[in-house]
Amino acid sequence: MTSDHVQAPETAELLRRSAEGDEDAFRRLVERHEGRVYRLALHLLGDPVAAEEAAQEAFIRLYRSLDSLRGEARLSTWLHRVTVNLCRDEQRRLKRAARYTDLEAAAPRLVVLGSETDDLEREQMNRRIRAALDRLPEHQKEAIVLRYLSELSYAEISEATGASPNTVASRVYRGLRQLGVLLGAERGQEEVS
Amino acid sequence: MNDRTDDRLLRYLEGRATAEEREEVERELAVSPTLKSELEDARRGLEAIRGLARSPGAAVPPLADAARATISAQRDAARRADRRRMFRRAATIAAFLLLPAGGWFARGLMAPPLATLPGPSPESVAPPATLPNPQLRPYFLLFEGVWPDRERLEPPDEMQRTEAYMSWFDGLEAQGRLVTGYELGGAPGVLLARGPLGGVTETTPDTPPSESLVGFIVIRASSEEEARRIAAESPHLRYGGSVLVKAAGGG
Repeated sequence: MTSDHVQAPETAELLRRSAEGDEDAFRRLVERHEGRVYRLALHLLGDPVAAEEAAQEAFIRLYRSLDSLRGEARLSTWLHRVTVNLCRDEQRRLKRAARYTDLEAAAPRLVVLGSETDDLEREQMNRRIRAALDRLPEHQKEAIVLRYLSELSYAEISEATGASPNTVASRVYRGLRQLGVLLGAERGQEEVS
Repeated sequence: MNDRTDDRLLRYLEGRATAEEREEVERELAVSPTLKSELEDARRGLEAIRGLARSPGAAVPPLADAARATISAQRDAARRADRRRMFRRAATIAAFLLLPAGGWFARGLMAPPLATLPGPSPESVAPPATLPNPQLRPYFLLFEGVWPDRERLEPPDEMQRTEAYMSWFDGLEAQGRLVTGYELGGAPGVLLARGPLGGVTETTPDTPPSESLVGFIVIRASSEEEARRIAAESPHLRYGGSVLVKAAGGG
């Protein structure tokens, strides 16, 4: 992992300079974390536009919180927490909007990650996994994404989601089981047809 | 199955279990086909998600420029709002200073001659009840969520809910706590912002009104803690909404 799960001196310095109004320092902070924040949002929301908006909002919140973040031990954990919360809000908004407008909007959306790959079979498999992931309960999906796609430890996921490490582990395990069931059922259907 | 069992099985699955835990799980697997099948499902899920994690990542859009532009626009708007707030604050302070003086002046004009009044001397007369208690500060209680769910209640429950709100507001008013308040349900409203070319843009927020602010009241309280205590008694929380407590005028 490239980011500073324990605040690197450089990050602390960038935070300090950003809080003093150094725009270049803030730009470097954003560039340092934008990949992880954007991909987390993309995995949780499944929509590049919504993910970009969520990631941008996360950095705007970072900017507004610079003063209080000078002593923050782990900026990346803070950013993960904010991004998870923003994605939860967005998912809730989408679900409610779907109730008012079009139910199809609530259906799981697929997004092609790394669409330039030549490996079509792998790409199809990824689509299936994403579709299955989208069908998991929100907390389970969140825990799995943070654990295996954002590569956080259970303690970090606990900090980002507000759930205890045991609860996080339980969500991950149950989510994996459900994911396996969904993918297994799909494979079974394919074999029958 | 509880959280601890799940945690133990997950450690086994991820290869983080101790030798002792591994033996324990394997003993259970040998006698429980159900557990074995569940663990196989979880292993299939784990392999799938690890495969996904190994796939090339999506290209990341350049966020730094976009974030900086938004922040810059918001900072300009905040500066303008600060200037407006400063003028309003100055006007409010002036009004507060003039109001008691004006009130006492008017009382003095309308009162009968002092010599004919029995009781305490003019110095000991309590100020009029309508004057704000200087110890109390205004706090906004912003109500979020819930309103559109109103349609779902049966008429007797709906009446009960309305009464709960009304009696809470009445109680606050009787204590001299309630300053003002409005419901903000209905139309989504119009969002004004300064566009990139300097003009003012108007958009209708795509968030349904139910999503955000559905009403607010302004109360007087001696501290944020007291304001929070008052907010905690709000029927809005009982009916599934949330209340944001914010001191007015900063600080």
